[in-house]
Amino acid sequence: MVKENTIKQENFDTLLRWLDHNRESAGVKYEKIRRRLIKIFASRGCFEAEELADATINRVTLKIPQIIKDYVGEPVNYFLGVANKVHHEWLKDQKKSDRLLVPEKINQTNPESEIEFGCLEDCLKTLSVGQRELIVNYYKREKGTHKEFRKTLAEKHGISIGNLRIKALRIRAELQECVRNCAAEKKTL
Amino acid sequence: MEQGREKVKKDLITQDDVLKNYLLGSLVDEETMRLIEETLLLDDDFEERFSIAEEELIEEYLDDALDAAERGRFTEIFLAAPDRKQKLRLSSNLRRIAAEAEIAEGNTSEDKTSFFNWKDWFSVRQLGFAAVVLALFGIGYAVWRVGFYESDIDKGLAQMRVAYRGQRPTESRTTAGFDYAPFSVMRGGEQQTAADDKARARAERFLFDASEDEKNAASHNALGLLYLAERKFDAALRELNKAVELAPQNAKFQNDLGAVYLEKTKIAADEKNGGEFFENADSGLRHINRALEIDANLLEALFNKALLLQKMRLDGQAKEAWNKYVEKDNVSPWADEARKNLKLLEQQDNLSKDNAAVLNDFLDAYRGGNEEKARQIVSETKEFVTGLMVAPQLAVKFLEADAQGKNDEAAEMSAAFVWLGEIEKKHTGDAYSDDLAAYYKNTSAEQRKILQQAQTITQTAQKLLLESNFTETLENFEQAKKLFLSAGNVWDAQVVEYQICYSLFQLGKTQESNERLFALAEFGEQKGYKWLKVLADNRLGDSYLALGETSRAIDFNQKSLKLSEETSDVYNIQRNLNNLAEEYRSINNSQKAMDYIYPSLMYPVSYYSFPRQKWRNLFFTTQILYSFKFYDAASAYAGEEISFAENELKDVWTRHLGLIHSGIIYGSLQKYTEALEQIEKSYYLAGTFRDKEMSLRLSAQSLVRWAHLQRQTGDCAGALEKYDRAIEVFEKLELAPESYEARKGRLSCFVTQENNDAVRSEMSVLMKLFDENRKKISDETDRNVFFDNEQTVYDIAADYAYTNLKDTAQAFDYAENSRARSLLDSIKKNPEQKQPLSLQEVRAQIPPQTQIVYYAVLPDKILIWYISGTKFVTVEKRVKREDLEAKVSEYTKNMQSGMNGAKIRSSGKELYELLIGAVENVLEKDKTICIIADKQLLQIPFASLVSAQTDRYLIEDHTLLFAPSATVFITESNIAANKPENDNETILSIGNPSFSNTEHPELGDLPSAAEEAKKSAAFYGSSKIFIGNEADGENFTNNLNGSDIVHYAGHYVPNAKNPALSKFLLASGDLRVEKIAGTKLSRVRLLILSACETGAEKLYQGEGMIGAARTFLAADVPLVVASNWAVESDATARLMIKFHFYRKQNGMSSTESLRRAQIDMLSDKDSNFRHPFYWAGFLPIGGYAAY
Repeated sequence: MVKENTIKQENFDTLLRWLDHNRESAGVKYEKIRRRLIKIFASRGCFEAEELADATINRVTLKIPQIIKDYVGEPVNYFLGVANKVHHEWLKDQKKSDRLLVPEKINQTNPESEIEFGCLEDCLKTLSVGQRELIVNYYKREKGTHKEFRKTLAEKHGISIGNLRIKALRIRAELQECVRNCAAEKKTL
Repeated sequence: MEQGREKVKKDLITQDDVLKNYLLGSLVDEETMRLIEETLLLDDDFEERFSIAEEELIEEYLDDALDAAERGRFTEIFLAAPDRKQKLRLSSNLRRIAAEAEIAEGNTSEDKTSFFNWKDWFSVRQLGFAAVVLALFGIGYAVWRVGFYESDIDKGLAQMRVAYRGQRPTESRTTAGFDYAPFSVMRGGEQQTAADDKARARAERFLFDASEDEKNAASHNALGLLYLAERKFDAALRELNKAVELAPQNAKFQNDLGAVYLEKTKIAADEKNGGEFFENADSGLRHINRALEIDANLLEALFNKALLLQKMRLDGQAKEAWNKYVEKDNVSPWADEARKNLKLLEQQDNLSKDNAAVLNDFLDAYRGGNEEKARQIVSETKEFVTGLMVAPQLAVKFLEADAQGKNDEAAEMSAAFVWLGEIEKKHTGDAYSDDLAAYYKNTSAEQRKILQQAQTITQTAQKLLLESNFTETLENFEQAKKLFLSAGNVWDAQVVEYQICYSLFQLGKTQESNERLFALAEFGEQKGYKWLKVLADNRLGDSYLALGETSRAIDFNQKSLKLSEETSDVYNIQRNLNNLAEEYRSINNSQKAMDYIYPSLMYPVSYYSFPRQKWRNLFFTTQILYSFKFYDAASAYAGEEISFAENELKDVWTRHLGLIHSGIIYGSLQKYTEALEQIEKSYYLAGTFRDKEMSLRLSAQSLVRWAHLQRQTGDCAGALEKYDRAIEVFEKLELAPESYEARKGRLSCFVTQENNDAVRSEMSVLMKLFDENRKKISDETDRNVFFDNEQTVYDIAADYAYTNLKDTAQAFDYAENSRARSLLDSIKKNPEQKQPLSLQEVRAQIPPQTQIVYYAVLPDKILIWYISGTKFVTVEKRVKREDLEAKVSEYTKNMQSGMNGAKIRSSGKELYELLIGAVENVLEKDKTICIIADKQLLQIPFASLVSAQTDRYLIEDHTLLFAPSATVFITESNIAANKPENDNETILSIGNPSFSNTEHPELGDLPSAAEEAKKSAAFYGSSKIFIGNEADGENFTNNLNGSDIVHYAGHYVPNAKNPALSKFLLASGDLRVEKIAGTKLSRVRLLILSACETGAEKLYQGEGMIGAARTFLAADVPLVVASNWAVESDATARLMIKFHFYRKQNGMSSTESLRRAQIDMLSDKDSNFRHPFYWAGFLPIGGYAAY
């Protein structure tokens, strides 16, 4: 893991200011950048995607005082440059420590999945009726394929397939968050 | 610049494949990666698109729609982050909830998703107005449609043409309308990518939308054409097959489908995969021929047909087809390509030369000192019967020149001969020609005189041999041999001896021929004359095949093939490949047959092509393809075979064979008039043979074919008359296999005529012949294949005995006679005990604690027998074999998915009703049921069948045991009863061996198997436990027979193609099952194979399931607990520990303990493990054991 110096509050405030003068908007941007960095690291096969995203942000945060005056362009491009460096170092670390990058066995019916299944049933109840119906129908297939059924479903809702996918994506994001919290709670019980 | 980049980004967003590759870590272009990541960081919309791409990838994974490489990257790269794993679980769980909701709703409403009800929407009053509007709209629409409308298909195809402008994505021609471009062969299967990738992506979008929106033949065809251009052949096949299904009369669609098969044929050729080559060529030919039947002028199909025939090495027909193409299209660049191909084929014709030309070429090489050329000529021309071979030609020329006093010429011939000998010796290590040349060089004048006489007689004999006049041939060869020997020429004498053996064999004097061939082989071996050894072994192979001793025949030909390859003897390499192909065909192992015939057919020769060898290739290929039911391809090869025999070889024998082939294939295509015509011709042609015995034999072969055709057309009386005549000849000539085939035909006739006495008597003769044939095959796999294919005889007999004779006991005996005979042979060493038990014997010997439920799956019914010491009940269930197959397949597929609980339960009830319900009322609850299943029923986990009445699994109410036959069950029960009593059992327990990760990267560590091995062993007083590195081959095999109980918990890798090569993965390396076969484990009472698919690897019709369990049953282990599918490690550990607990702590028998452990799984704390996938895969196989 890439080690970083300690971040002080003032460094963090500078970062937010650099992202946006409005602190609230800056907070939203910060969250977006973090989330998207995680996606980038995950897509590069890093099992520690979250930690690497944080390491990137930390490193940028520490660097800001030196670059803020002269930097031109989108801040996110700077993040990407730093992310590349962090990723490069991480790869080197992996090689050094000879750690296997083989993920654990995929088991869709493991105990974790069972807990999450129970949570999902509860989380579905927190959705509106329309949302719940949409997401459950989205995963139905009737006698054909999911794809075929989704086309009919989109027609039923009077929207394009693309819009249906986006709707499902947003509902799923809500569900994922809900399931994550619920499962964490259950595990600590 | 920025604008350009923005556009690229937008394009990226719309390209699913780019995102997919990025997510799978397989995107190599760094600039594209950077663009994706920049866009992702900046663009909210793109983040959503990105997330959707992630979800779609997860969906593809869950739908099993990723290929192997993608699947690997998905698990390694994509799922590396925990967040993604959670997403996967979420999608999986959502699917589960949706599926349950669907089940709950019962899927009854067909129009659930329709968002309006048209009946409500339209009121009667509105209809008039609506009709006017619709009519006006209709006229406008028609004008627009004809004049301006461009459909998505048109747009897509247009974009596709843009994408591949100036390119030739495939060598075959499709109707996509590509302009001509020369085809360039890419190395290593590289794919030609579209020149304009954006146009390709646009084409994909249009065509994909069209296929989604329209779902008609045209849309499927268009999308298929795009996939074909992209060389995504499986996807292309899927779409083009749909198009042909929807519009079978469309010549273009048929052609395009044929084009995909043509491309797949080429790939198979590159990979040297005979099976796939012929399979694809057959399908390609079928669709292209169909296209031409519909439209004889379709240029694309004419082109493809010629191309495919050329790839199939059907040169004569390919030339004809190219000429036909050029007749229809004489001016286009495609026509130029057709002419180039014609030229190429004609050049190949030039590879046939006469004997004198071959000798001259060799002498030119000699004179120019061109050793390489000389070697090529010699290695490609080793046929001596036609006088082609260079060495004998040099000997004859030397003698002729010497006799005529042409000393210089004689000296040159002698020197050339010596040079040839030296080359051969240097390159192949074979001293035959070297020694022979030295002999000729040092002969006296008197010797040369005798030799010339001997050579003349040899040439006469060879001429007679080619005319199939074997009796006279033999006399001449014997005389020549004597002369050679009198001149001290043992070398030529041995070659003549070989030809004597061949003649003896053709005259049916096989025994004598073989004895002399063995002596010849020994001579070759001793002297280091590899060529002679190759000849003798090759002929011995032929001979043993004729005797029906296929395994020996294969051995000889394999030896001969190896040696001929070592000596680069092209002629004999091909002959051996032909023989091996035929040997495997004769035992109906078509896969191996095709593996051998393919390289022979395609053998690359650069100097000389043997007409006779070419004919042989065509002959054997036709036979094999016919055996595999590739009738379209077989018909093409048969056509080539006949025309080649008539035009090139011009001899009676080859023509006769060609006619037989053609007749058989026409019969299979149900073209009976043509078939009978060809067979009749062959019969009369056989009568013109000068050799009487040969004439009789070939006439009889024609008669059998004739009879088969008559039987097929319903003329049983005519057929029987011909069968009888043929059998009389075959028996007189002692040709058992031929006689067997004729008798099978007779049996079918008697069954049709319902002639009971005749059926009974014919069956008894057939069973005797069947047994004799079986005994001659020593290799177990070959024997199993033999049984697999001959099972129909027993099915016919069992069905007849049951239906017509109303003799259920006789029907049972016929069924039992075909079951697990190889296994019985392995268990019983005494030949007398190898006979299956009769029903009466089974009933007398059945252990009193047991009852048998026995199944025989026949074409339209299942016969179920309930057998106990006191009862014998027969039940018939009417079900077509194919329907049963579909039911079982669906059930086992759902079962092995580990999901679809509701479906499994409902089809489990259906199967229960069919298989158990019929005998339920006679089953005794306190007796163990021994299930003896048949054919596809062997795949059913009976334990998980559910009674509709009680809603309970079968295992909840009965203890189950499985055996491949009643005789094996009784035998193993006796073995179990004879094992010494032992209250203090010892156990050998192997757990989680540390196998090689390099060799098996796909397999993971099994920590639960280690725990299982330890905890299971803990129930026993004395144990040997080997875990991890200690679980090696030495510890396993050395201790195998040192314990009462053996428990193996680890990986087992089944090999369905050759079960003997299946292996246990151990710390020191793999232990193949074949290493255990043949050993006797006298001490072992029970063996538990707690691994994947240890009970079932390959299903043979007669022999049943072949798996590791069977090997141990043959090794005197009377009871084996094995698995029928890939089991889950954690659940298995739990099941097995409980199994041993019940055995040792509760003192239950092994079968009862397994049952109790399985019942416990039904209420396991982990609800997943309650699914039968986790417990029903294990079954006890063998005999009844009290322990």
